[in-house]
Amino acid sequence: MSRLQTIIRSLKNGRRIIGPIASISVNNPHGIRSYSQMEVQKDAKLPVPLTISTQSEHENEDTKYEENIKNNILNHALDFVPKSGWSVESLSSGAKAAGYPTITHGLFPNGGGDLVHYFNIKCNEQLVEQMKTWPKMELKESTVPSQFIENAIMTRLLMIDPYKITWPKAMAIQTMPNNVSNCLATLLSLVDDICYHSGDRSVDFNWYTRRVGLAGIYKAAELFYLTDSTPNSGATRSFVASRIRDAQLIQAALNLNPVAAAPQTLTAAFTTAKNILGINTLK
Amino acid sequence: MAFRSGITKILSLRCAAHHVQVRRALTTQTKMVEEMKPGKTHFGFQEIEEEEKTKKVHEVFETVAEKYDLMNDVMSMGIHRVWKDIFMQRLAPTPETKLLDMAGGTGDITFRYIKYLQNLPASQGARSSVTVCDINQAMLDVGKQRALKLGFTPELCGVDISWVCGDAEKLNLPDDSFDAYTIAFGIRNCTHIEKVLEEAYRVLTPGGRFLCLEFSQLPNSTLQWVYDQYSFQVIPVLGQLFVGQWKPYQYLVESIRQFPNQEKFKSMIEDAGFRQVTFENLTFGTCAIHSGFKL
Repeated sequence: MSRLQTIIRSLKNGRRIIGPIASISVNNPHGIRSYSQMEVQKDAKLPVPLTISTQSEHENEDTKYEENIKNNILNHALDFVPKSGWSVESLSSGAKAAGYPTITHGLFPNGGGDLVHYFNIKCNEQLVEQMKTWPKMELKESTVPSQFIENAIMTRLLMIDPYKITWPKAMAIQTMPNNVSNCLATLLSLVDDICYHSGDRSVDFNWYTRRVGLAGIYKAAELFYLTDSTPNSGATRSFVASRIRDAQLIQAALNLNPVAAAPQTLTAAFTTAKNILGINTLK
Repeated sequence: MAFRSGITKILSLRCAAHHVQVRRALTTQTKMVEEMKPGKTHFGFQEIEEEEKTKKVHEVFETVAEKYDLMNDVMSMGIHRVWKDIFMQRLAPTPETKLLDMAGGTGDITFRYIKYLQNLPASQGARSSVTVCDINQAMLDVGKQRALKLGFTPELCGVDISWVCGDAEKLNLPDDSFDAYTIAFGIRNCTHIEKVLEEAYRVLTPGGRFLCLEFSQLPNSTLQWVYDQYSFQVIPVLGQLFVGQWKPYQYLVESIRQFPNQEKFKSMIEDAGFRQVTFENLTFGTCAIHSGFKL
């Protein structure tokens, strides 16, 4: 084969000529992200296939062993967050506390991002455990279990309390491009858990609107909570309550026909506008 | 005058180089280690007795030791510095780390490690250490001199440095004694890669990290072709021009082709017992950083 032919053939084979100078290979299927996936599956009670080959069982064991070590280190690292923030420094202190050398922080290539992600997952799990014990309500057509949702959001927000000073940094870390997907996954699993345990079994379009709406309320409340200095976070609670009322009004409006809904839609819009302008004097 | 005699030598050696090139073009896939007969190993593209390899590699580095750093700059156009910087950033050493810098003769990794630690906020009482280990005393001597010149003495930089001459396959160091094991552009020259990995696993403490920087293969065949042209046509010439040596640099490029690719090397690291093994390509895959943990 002549030289020219070789060149042409290799040009054909190699389409991806332009590549990054230094790229991070995604060859880590047991990465920390899979954790939330597993949790979602568990909660949705998906049928587990009964025939698992011994090899994959072995692999599962390995993954579990590694996950346990990672979670142990992360758990210890949380103790150092008030002191050194959501950082690699906390991770290496955590590794040391767990009995490993400080260099083991390399297990978490995302650094602080992985720590924040772990904290979110842990809080979501705790919230699910608590919600299971709360009294169940029958979800009737066009009513929203507002008290349940308010309690759930507040319980979840108060879990941030020990780390409140460092939480703005954590929120910033979550918006970094390489952490966004993890952050959205945990947020969606949070609102999904809340909706499921509040009795939502809808299979129509409401499934989406409820979850997206709730995610919006949660994130807004999180921001409000950061600057809330009232005792027992009373202001945050009333903020959450009024956001849920807004959502209720919007949902009611969507369920009605346009003409009959006009006054309520207007009221909702008006209240929202007042809230935005900060001249809502009801509270 | 030396330059001109270099040119004449190149001209006389061109035939040999061309021969290598033709063979290379026909076998685009690297020959794997499995094909070897028992007791034999690769020395570049040659097949030699296992005992011989250590000796030959030793000779190669003996001859190039003094100009080693210069040649690294020339051949990689300075990029090897960036690779090593990235390598150290991936390790991200923390105070009180005990590092074993294997095959770290001239100290490139060690000095970066010390600088990284110096740039960290000062911590009280935590003292880090580094053990530079190399099979070749000539390379270690170059490293020691550089350390003196750069002012990296234990008193000044706050990091304990010790220089040890030893074989990566039979380390004379106790079990569980290091937090991190780095080997940059060294593992390729060892006769038994599995033994090196096993030794690395042995000397690392639980939770310790194995980090390897090594030439690898480009997943894109066009770029691999370009890279091959550069390796076989240019690098030995540069060796002849700057150091007056052709053979060591021909060995260098050949040994790169014999080294297992990213995925294969990853599974070798896993076989040695390491967990959470990952790799990252640098400059399209010219180099790869492999990372593993003893957990």
